[in-house]
Amino acid sequence: MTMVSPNRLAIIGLLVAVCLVAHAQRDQVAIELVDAPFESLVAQVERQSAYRFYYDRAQTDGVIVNVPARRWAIDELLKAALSPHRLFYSIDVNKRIFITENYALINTLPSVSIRDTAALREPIPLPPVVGHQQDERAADISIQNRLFEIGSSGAAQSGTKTLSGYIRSTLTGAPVSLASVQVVGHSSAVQADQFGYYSITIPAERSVIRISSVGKKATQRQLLMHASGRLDIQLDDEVYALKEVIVSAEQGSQVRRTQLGVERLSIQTIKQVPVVFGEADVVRVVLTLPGVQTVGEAASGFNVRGGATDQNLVLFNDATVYNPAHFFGFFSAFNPDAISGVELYKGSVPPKFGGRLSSVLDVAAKTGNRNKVSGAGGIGPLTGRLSLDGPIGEKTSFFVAGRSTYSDWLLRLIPDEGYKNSGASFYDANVQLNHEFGDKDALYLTGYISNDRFAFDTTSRYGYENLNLNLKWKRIFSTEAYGMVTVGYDGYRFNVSENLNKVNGYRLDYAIGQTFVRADVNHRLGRRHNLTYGLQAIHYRLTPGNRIPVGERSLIDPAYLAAEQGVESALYVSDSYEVDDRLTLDLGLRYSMFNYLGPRRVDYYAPGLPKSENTIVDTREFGSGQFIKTYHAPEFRLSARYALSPNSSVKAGYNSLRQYIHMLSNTTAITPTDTWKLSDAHIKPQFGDQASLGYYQNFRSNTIETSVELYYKRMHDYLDYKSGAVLLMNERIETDVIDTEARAYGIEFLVKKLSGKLNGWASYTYSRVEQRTVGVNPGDMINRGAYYPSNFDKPHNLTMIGNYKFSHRYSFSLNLTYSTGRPITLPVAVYQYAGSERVYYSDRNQYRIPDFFRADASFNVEGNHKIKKLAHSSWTFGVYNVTGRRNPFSVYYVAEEGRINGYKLSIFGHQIPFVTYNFRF
Amino acid sequence: MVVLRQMISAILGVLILAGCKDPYEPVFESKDLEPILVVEGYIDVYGPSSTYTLAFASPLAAPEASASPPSVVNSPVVNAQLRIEAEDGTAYHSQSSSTPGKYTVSHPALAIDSRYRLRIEIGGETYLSEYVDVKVSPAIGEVGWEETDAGVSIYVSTADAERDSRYYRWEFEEAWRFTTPFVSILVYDFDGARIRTRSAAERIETCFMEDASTGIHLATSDGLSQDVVDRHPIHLIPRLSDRLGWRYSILVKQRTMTREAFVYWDLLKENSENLGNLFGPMPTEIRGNIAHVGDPLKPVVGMVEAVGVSRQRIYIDFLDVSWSLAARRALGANCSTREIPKPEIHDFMYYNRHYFLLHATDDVYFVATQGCMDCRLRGKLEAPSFWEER
Repeated sequence: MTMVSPNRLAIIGLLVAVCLVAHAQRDQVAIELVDAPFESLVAQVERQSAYRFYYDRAQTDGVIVNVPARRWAIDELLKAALSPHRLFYSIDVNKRIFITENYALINTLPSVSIRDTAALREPIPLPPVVGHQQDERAADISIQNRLFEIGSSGAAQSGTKTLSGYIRSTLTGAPVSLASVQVVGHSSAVQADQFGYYSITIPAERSVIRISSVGKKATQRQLLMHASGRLDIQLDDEVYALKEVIVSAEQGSQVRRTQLGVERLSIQTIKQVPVVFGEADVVRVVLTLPGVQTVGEAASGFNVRGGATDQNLVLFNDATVYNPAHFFGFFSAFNPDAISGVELYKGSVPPKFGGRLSSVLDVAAKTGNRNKVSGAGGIGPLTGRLSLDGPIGEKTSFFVAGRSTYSDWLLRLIPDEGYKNSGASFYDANVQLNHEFGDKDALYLTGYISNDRFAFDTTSRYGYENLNLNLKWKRIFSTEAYGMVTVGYDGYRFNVSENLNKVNGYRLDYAIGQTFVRADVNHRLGRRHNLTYGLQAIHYRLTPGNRIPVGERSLIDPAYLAAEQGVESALYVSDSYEVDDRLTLDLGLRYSMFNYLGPRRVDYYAPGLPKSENTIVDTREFGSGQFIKTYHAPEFRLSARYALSPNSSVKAGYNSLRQYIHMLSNTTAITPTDTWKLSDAHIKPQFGDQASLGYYQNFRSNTIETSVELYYKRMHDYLDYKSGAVLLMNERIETDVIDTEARAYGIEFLVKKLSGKLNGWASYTYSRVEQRTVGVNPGDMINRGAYYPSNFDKPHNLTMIGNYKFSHRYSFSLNLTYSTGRPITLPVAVYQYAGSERVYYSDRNQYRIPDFFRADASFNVEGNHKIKKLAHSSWTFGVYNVTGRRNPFSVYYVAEEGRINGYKLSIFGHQIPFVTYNFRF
Repeated sequence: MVVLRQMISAILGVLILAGCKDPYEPVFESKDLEPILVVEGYIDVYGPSSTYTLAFASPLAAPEASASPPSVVNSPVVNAQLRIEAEDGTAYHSQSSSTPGKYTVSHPALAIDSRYRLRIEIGGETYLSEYVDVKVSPAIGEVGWEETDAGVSIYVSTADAERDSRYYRWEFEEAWRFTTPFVSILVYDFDGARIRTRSAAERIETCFMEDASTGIHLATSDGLSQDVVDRHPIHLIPRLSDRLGWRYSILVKQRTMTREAFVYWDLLKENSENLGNLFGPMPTEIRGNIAHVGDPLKPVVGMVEAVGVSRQRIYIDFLDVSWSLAARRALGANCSTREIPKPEIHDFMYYNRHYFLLHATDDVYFVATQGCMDCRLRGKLEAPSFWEER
C-alpha cells in the first residue's frame, strides 16, 4: 500500500475536514468506552445507528479506545477515539465509515476526466464533478478507489474479459514502457510493451488491478467488468520522499513471470551505479548481473552464460546495433538520456527474438513528452549530452538527443610525441517520433546514429559508424489482439587508413547493412491463453572488405572482396498457457531459415581433406539472387512456472537457438576491426541450446527478491582460427577456420531489493565454460582437441550494487565486484632463437591471471525538489576503483634486450575520480 | 599487412595512462617442465656447408631460471646426427663439431629445383622435417639509411621482377670502429716501474666492435601490385650511439620464404615481441615443419628452410651524419683526467691499478681510468677481415 509523506497528509486532512462538515453533524450516539478494543466501538456505533464500518483488522488490531460517557456527534466521536492511534476516518453519503491508517480516504470524486479516460464500448456516464480543490495526491487516491465500470451492465458479456490500454506518465504523457499490470489476489500479471500498451485477462467481474513501474508511483484501479474494454492509465512520477516505499515494476515479477533468466533494469537503476568517468552506462551495469562476464575492464562486448561476444543480440527499439561501444569500449554507445530501460534475456529467449545464440539485450528508447517541451543534459569529464522532447500537436511527440566527446585532452596527456597530432572523437544521436491515429493506430519512428573517429599522427585513421532507422506501425484490432509491423535498416561500417605517404598506404572499408521487416501479433484467447505469433525477414548485405591505395606513392593493389548476401527469415508462434493458478506454460516454436545468396563464386574442397587452396576440387559461379546454400531448422523455446505460493515459484526451461552471422575475431577482446561473416557453403550456422531450472522466492511483501538459477548449455559450430590466420581481407576464410564446440554450466544466486532507502542487488555465480576443437588436422587442434577453458571462463563471480538514500537530495552508491582471474596462456619455456630469447607457450588458457576485485563509489547530490523549478540539476561525484587495486587485464612476456621479462598490465590501476553534472528542464 | 598496429599501440597508450605495468612471476605446473627440442639454422643451397644448432629449451619454472634471470637458456644437444636429404635420395651427413650443440653439414651447391629435408637423430629418437622448396632471394635493391629524430634508421628496399618472392626476412651483422675519449701515449711498466712511450703497435684507442641482429625482421609485398618492399626499416641506431662515432658498417642478409614460413616467423615475432597488447592475438604455439617420428604431437621448435641468401654491405661514416646525431664526444662524459705530480707517480700507479697513463708535462703525469682510454675493454683492435676504410 502506498504511503504518503506527512506534509501531503496535512493537505488531505484539511480537505477531509472541510468535506465532513457537510453531512456528518446530525447523527449522534451515546457511548462510553474504557480501555475497550476497537471492535467495541464498532459494535456500539453500528447498533445505535445506520453507520457501518469498513476497516482492515490488521490496522486496528490491538487498538484500545477510551471515550468519556456522553452523546457524541459521530465525527467528534471518531476523532476523539482514533486520533491517538494515527487512524483516520472518512464517511460517505451512504453512512459508511472507512477507517484507514496514516491518511484518510477521499470518498467523493474530484474531476476524473483529466486524469484517466475510460474508452469503453458503452461509455459510462461520468459522475458529476464535485467542487473540490484539486490536489494530485487526493485525486490519485480517489481514483484508486473509484470503481470503473467497463462495458454496460445491460449488455454484459459472459466468460473472460480482457482489459487493455495505454499506460502513460501523468507528467509527460509519454508511454511508460515495461510497466507491470497485475490482478490483485490473482496470479495473472502482464507487462506493458515498449509503447506502454497492455492487455490483461480479468478473471472476475469485480477485480482490482495494480499498475507499477520503476520510478513511478504504483497505483490501482477498481474494476467492474461487464465486457472487455479499454482503460488508459496514468502514472505519477515518483518524487523522492524519505519514508516512501518505491514500488517498482521489477518487484515480484521474477516470481510470477514464466521465463527464466530475464533481467530488467530501468534507467533510474542504471544511473545509480558508479562507472568510470561518471557516464551512466547500460553495458557496464549489465555486466554486474549474474551470468554476465567480460574478459576485462576496457573490453567492449560481454559474455552471457558462457557465450561468445558475438552471440548477443543488441537491440535498440528493434534496431540491431552491431557495435554498441564508443571509444573502443570505454563507453557504451547508448546515451543514458535517450533510453528508458533495458531487458536482458540470458535464459529463456522469447521466440520473437532470434539470430544470436546467447542473449538478447533489448534496449528501450525513451519517447517524447506529450504535455510540454522538456529537456535534459549532462556534462562529464569526457562527454557532453543534451536531449529535447515534447509534443507536436496533440497526437505527435518527438524526442531528440545528442552526445559528443571532447576527449582529445586525454590523448595529449600521453608522454609520447606520436600523440601530439592524434585525435579521438565520437558522437551519437537519437530521434524518436510517435504519432497516434485515433485510438487504434500508432506510428513510431526510431533513428539512431553513432560515429567514432580516431586519428593517429597524420598517417593513420580509423572510424566506425552504426546507423539505424525503423518505422513501426501498431494497430489494436480489439481488446484481445494487437499487432505491429516494423520495417527498418541497420548498418554498421568501419574504415582504416594506414601508412599514408608510403608505398603501402591503403584504406580499407568494411560495411554491413541489413534491411528487415517483421510483423508481430499478440492475441489473447480466453483467460488461459496468450498467443504471440509473427514472421520476420532480414536481408543482409555485407561488404567484407575493399582495400584501395591511398597517397601518390602507394602501390597497393586495389582489392575488393565479393559482397555477401543472405536472407534470414523466421516464423514463430508462442502460447503462454495458464493451466491453472499455479502452473503456467510458455510454449514457443520458431522456425528459422537462412539462404546464402549469389552472385558469388564458390570454391568446393575435396571432402575429408583439410580445406586449402590445394584441395579445391570445384568452383561454381552463382548468379544474382541464386541460393548458394540454405539452412533451416526449428528452434524450441519452452518454459514452465509452478507457483508454490504467492511469493515463491519454481521454473524450468529449454531453449534452442541458431545463429547465421559470425564475428571473425581471434583476439581476446573485441577489436575495432573485427568483421562479421555470414554462414555460407562452408561455414555452418552456430547452434546452441540451454536447459535451465530456477527457484524464486520473495520476502517482505515482494520488496526482497531472491532467486537461484541453474543452467547447462551447449554450443556447436562456432568459430576459432588457425594460428597465424589473417582475418581481414581473407577471401578463403573457411581454410583458416577451426570448428569449435563448447559447453557451459553454472548456478546463479541473486538477492535484490529495489525499494527503500537502501536498495540494490547482490549476486554470486559459479559458472564454467569450456571449448574444444573438432574435426581438423591433429596439428591444428588446440590443446590436442581436449576441452579447455574459454577466455571468459571465470568460475567465481560476486557482485554487489548498493545505493543508500540519506535524504531526498543525497544518496550514496557503492559497487563491488570480485571474480576469478580469466584464463591465459603463459610462456613455459625460454630458448635462444634468431638472436634473441623466445618463449614457448603452454596449452591454451591453462593458467589464470590473478583474481579481480574492484570497488567504485559515488555520491549523488540532487538539486532541490521544487516541482515547479525551471531546471532540475544534480551532481555526481565518484571514484572508480576506490581501493586502487591493480587488477591485471593481461599478463605478458616481452623480449627486452635479449631477456624475457613477465609483466602484468592493469587498466585503471589506480583511483579515478570523476564529477558529472546533469540537468533536466 | 600489419593492420592497425600503430592504432592499437595508441589505444594501449591511453589505457596505460590510467593503467600500470608490474612485474609478474607465475607459478607453473609440473607438466610444463618437459624439454622442448629447438632447431635453428637453414640449408644454404649455395654451399659449401649448412650449420644447425640443436638445444633444449629451458623451462621458465626451472629453479635456476627463476632464481636468476635466465641468460643462457639453451642446453645444447650433444651427440646428435643430422642429415640433409634431397628428394632423389642424396644425403649429406653432419660432422662432429667442437662447439656443443653445433652441427655442420658439408655439401656442394644444391640443385634449386629439388626439395630437401632435415633428419635429426638424438639417442634413438628421430625428428624429421617436411620436404621444403628452395627459395632463392633476389638481389637486395638497396640498403640505405636516413636520419630521424631518434637516430639513424637503416632500411632495405628490394624487388622481385618475377613476383615470386613476396615474403622477406632479413638478418644483419654490424661492425664499427670507435675510439676512446682519451689517448694514451705512455705505458707504465710495473716490471721495473718504468715509464715509456707507447709504440704504434701498442696503441689502444681505436677498436672494432661487432654485433648481430636480435629481432625478426619481416616484410611482405602481399597485396601490392608489384613484388616490392620499399624502405622497410630493419634497424635503428640511436643517436649518440658509439656506432656513429667514426665508421659503421652493416651487412644485410636477405632471404625469401614460403607463406607457411612467413606465418611461422611472424607468429614467433608476435609471440615474443608484441604481446601484452590489448587487442593482440591470443598467443598460440605454431608448429614448424619438424616433427618427432612416432609422436607427431611432441613439441619441436624450428622451421627448416632451404635458401639462397643475398647480401649487401654498406658503410656509414661519421662525417656523413649530422653532428647532433654523431657521438664522438658523448662517450667522454664520465671521463676526466687527473694530474699526478711526477714524484708521486710510482706510488699512485702501484695503488691505482685501474688508472692508465695518458701523457706528461714537465711536472705532472696525466692519468685516467682504463675505460676512458683502453678500447680493448669493449672491442677488438684488429679490423674485421672485410673492413674497408673510406
